Amino acid sequence: MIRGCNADGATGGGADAELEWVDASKSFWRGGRHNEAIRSVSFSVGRGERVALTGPSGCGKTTLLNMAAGFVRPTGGFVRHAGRMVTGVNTSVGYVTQRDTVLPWRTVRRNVELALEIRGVSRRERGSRVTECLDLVGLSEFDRAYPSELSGGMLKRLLLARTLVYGPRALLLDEPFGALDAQLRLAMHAELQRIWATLGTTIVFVTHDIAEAVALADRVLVFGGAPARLVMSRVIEVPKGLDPFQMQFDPACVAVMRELWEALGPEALRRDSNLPERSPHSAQVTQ
Amino acid sequence: MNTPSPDAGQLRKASTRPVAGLDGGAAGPSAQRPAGRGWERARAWAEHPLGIFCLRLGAFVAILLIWQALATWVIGGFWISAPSTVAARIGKWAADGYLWQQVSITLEEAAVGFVLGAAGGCILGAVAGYYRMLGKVLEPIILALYSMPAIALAPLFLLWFGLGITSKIAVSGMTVLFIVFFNVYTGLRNVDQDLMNVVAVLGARRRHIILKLILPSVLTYLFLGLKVSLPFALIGAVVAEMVSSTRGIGFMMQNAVNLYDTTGVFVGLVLVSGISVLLGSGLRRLEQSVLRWKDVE
Repeated sequence: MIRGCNADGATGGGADAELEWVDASKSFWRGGRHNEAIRSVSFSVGRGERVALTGPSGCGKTTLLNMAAGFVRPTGGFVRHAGRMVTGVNTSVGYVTQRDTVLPWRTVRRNVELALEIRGVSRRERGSRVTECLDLVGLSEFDRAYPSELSGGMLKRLLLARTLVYGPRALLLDEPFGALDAQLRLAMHAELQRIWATLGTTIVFVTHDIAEAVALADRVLVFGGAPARLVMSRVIEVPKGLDPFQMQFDPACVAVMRELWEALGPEALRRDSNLPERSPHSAQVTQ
Repeated sequence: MNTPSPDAGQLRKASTRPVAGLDGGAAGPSAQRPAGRGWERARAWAEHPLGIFCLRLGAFVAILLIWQALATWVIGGFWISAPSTVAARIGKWAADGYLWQQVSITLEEAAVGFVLGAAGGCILGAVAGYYRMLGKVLEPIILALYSMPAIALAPLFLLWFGLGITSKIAVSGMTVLFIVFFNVYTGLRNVDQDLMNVVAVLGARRRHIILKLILPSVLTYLFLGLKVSLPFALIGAVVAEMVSSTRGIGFMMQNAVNLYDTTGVFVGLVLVSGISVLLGSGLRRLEQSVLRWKDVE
């Protein structure tokens, strides 16, 4: 296969790559028709790099994440993590789903403990590591609460803590803050920045929100089209830690966001005319 | 309701602390009693467990009174007996040991049927739910079997298992088995796929997934099945007894029917529903202690 359409330097760390998607493709049969969802997408994410995947709804961003986690097997190409091919479930990544996938019958502490329990960590060590993680995300006061007692933002923190507790090499976040209101989302952005500054973990996250992508990522990848392919890979060199209001007045930010919008815009429109069953709102990329 | 804001605050307090109404309103430090507060307090009181209990008791007594009135003045005791007559009969039969003789045998049948049926339903449901293909094949067959009325199965079971206790256990167990089967089966099919994925990434092997994810998520469904099937365990035993038996509540009722003894029939009905309610509340207690995470607020 030719890597033609991705030749714009979509490689992050070169030899130092944490995650690599190589000619990753996904097609499936639906209603007797062969559907190509993703066509030969290649990019890599360097160690400690934060990369945002963005693009219109249903363009396969989540599928790309799922490939790295090993939930979905690419029908063409492959994904490599730390130099090794991902063939089964990849237990050296942390995955934060779009939905709040916690175990409702376990308290906050026991939810966070789960990974360590499964990995056979001794009870004593489990206790201290869970406490550390709950401190990191600011949930230590709620360790005995059940998930049903938590607010939306606290649930996200719980998901993060549960993922961080076993020290995954890379974090895969699928629209982690999509369901939160704007204010909470900002708080979670700060939280994620802080966690990254502390741990330096590689982060790959899917988002619909261009501002979120620019605020958090070192590099933004824009996907589009049907079948989906990589449209643009843009290194973000703007000051981090600005709120959306400040970002509006930062010329570098504005320029980057305009560029990303333009990369997205026509793609999104073309996609909609192809798929009449999708509402026109699916082309909207910010919240 | 035209209450100034401090009172509105107090209303909220009253409704979040329903117990306050029970000690004659002495809990409120203020002497003010704006209009509408009484209603508010009544509602708060009704939402308290003790309040609900009292309301239930009231409704129960009302039904008994209506029944008694109908029996005395409208329809006549011959047709519908009367609570007082039923109570007297229960007292009499309890005193001479006849009642316990019948109740104990029915309880035994229902208990053994319930346990065996529940166990069978769990195993079958777990197997059919875990092996998708098998489940798909078996589902319509089990649904077809489930549709057979217990009353129609009873004569067959009597033929197969004899007139003794075994045939009653079989009828009772069958009904329970199907209900528990469908609940466990549905529970297994409904385990959240996203959760499965997430737990797999955390490093879970098959046994972890079964013990830490599937089992706890199926428990909710299992308890639902147990609660729904509990009365049917009793009904199955009684129905089989009514077809043919020499002991048990069903026998007692059939006997009463033959003697045009409406009171005897009502004694049977009252016993079956009473036992059902008692056992059901016991099961609910058990559920609450096992699924403690469910009733946190």
